[in-house]
Amino acid sequence: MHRTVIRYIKGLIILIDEELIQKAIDRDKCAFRTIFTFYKNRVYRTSYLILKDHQLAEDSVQEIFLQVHKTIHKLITAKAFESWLYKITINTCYSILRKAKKFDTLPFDESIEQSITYNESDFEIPDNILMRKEAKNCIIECIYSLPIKHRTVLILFYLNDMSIKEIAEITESNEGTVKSRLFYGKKVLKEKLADCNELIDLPIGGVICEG
Amino acid sequence: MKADDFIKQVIEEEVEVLELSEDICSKILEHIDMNEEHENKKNNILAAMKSFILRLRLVDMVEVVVFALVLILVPYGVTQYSEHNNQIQNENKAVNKNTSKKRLITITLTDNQEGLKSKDTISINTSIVHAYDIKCIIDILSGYGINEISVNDEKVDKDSEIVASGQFIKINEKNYGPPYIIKSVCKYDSLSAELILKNDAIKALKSRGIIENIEETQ
Repeated sequence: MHRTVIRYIKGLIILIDEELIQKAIDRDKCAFRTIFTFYKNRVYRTSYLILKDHQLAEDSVQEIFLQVHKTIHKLITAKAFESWLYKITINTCYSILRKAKKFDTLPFDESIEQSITYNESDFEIPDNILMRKEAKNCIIECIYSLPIKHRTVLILFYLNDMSIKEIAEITESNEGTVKSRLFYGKKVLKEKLADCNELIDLPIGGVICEG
Repeated sequence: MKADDFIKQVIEEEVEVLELSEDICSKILEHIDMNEEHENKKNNILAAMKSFILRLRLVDMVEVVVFALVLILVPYGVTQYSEHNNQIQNENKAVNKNTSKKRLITITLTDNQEGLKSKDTISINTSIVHAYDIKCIIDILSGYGINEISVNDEKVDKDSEIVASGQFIKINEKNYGPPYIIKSVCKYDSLSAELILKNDAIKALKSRGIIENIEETQ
């Protein structure tokens, strides 16, 4: 689950490996600060995409790392650290949304959702730079409009490079549900993108003008 | 471009500029340090409380042990004391020093009828019970520390007036004829045997034939 990561942050090489996490579990202050430095912005970005509010996201980061510090000694294996961290992140964000009464659920039955099939080849991406910018805005808008659980799956999948299995573990749901939420998200994004293309009245697949 | 790559790119671009400021990071770390300090204090208090409870338990255990020892040792002590007491009583019995049971010694004096048939004046005189014979026996018994003595149910002691009065003996102003029954209460076992076997005066009286009987009863 956990991978050894080397990051170059502000002139410092940060190595996150099992040994470092084990040190943090054993109450090593320095190791915990290194982990915080490495994960703070990842957690912040994930929280922001779920909460869609800078202030709430900042508050959530504080709450998340406080909880991590309090309960890290309960972590059985260092391998599970990243999944565990994102699990705390997601639960904290959900809790904040519930308090703010912004926690929305899926408008339709998930069992029906399981039957939705998605064909990736249907997804058309505009080549025109202006259209592409517009399409990005449409997608972002669409992501924020998705039900919270679908948005969470998309964020974990695309931003944090998590596998279906890892996401299922973090969200405490089965892999089938995660897959269907992911496909449903993509389907909605595709539809939204198609709508956008129609609105700006440009043919999909215009002039390639990259770079 | 693949759809997945496009969405990934869009999402990453949306948040790539987002970074926590140094102030917020410092604030979070400060908060964590404070929390750690607070946790340490809490743990120290908990440890102190646990230690206190453990000590209390130890005190309780000591109390239980002491109570158990009392329960065991007190009956044991009582048994030992009782056994020791019995042993002392048995030893007392063994040396014939019965401190609880009293014995009645009855000495019967009467004139020696055989001696009285003799024509010899001396023999006749020694065959008759005299006042001084009775006084002799009373003196012997008093010598053993015996105070309760009677002659023919007349209570006497070594200073009582016992004198001859013709054919009778006057005891406490009353005349009595033979047989003279001397009763005494003593605390010793086998006093009668001792009197018969060891006392010369008694032996002499017996040889004169005037001691009819020496009896010991409980």
